Amino acid sequence: MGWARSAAAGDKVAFARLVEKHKTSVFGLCYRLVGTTDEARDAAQEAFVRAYTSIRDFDARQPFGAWVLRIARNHCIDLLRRRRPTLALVSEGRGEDPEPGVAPEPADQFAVGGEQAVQESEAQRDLDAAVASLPPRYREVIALFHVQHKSYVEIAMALKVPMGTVMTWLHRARKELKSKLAEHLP
Amino acid sequence: MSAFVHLSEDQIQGLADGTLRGPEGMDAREHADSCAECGAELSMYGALVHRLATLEDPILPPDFTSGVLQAVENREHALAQRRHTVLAAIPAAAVGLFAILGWALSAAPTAHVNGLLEVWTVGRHVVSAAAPVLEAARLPLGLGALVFAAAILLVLIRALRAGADRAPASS
Repeated sequence: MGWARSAAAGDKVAFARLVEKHKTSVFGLCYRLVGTTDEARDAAQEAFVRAYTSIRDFDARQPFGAWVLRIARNHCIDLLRRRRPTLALVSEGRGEDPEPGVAPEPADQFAVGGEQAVQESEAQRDLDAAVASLPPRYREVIALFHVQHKSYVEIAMALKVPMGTVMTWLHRARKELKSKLAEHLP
Repeated sequence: MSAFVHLSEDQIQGLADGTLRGPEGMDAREHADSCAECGAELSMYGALVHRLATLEDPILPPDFTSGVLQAVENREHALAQRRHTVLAAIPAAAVGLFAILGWALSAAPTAHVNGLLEVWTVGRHVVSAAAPVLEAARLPLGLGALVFAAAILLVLIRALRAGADRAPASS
């Protein structure tokens, strides 16, 4: 990877290109792990800063994307460990149960498309909440496979685990999701 | 594939996400089409995979890359400052050590030498008095030292493993 070599030599323009290319996947993974936009942005930024400061250790034969994803993942896991357990799985404005006895506000959804839109919105909210409630390693593989559309091989490289482990985590994650989302599935 | 041997959950998930292909995938698909139970399971997983495809991440602010570059500059600046502090501390410590030694030795050299000799003499007496005790306690002391060394080694190995596991993050 030419950009990585140039960045290792101190070329900030090359590094900026690498950031541009990989920022979406790094941010996406951070978002699924830490659960809030602001924290995910900060975590992604920190991951890139760490990547730059240790880019001389980067093995150019490996894909830069997998390497920086691994840095981001390790940083997010550190963040989650430092959090209090009660905060670990709460996501930002997603999947929050309405107050007991208080109906959710349907105004916008009715304006857009009626009852079906409300159901869609509820299903989406439940999906987000169900994903956010998974253990971190399951959230990682769900984010990388279903949102980032990475292959098993790419995920295995990013997480530095065997491909079989990726498949196992993914299958278990979907099994858990299936039971959590049973009411929304046929 | 027999219609009476149901598909495994892994096979059904593989069919649903499109990773189970080839002859095995065709056999599994054929079975799912003819088996109501597996067909229902496949339909559930298919719907789940479809829903998961609708997951969206928030949009990053457009100035994210410039923010990263700014943070890189700040980090480089902080690291350079730390290096300068360390480099400045080495000669300062050397000068301080030299000054202390110089002061101590120049104040009353013979008194210091005599003091050192006294300490040496006292030390010799203590060692000679404690020698029989140490001789008697050699085996327990040896065992204790062995256990202590093993504990230290264990802690070091764990710390090194933890460091190796988190190498990219901590590098």
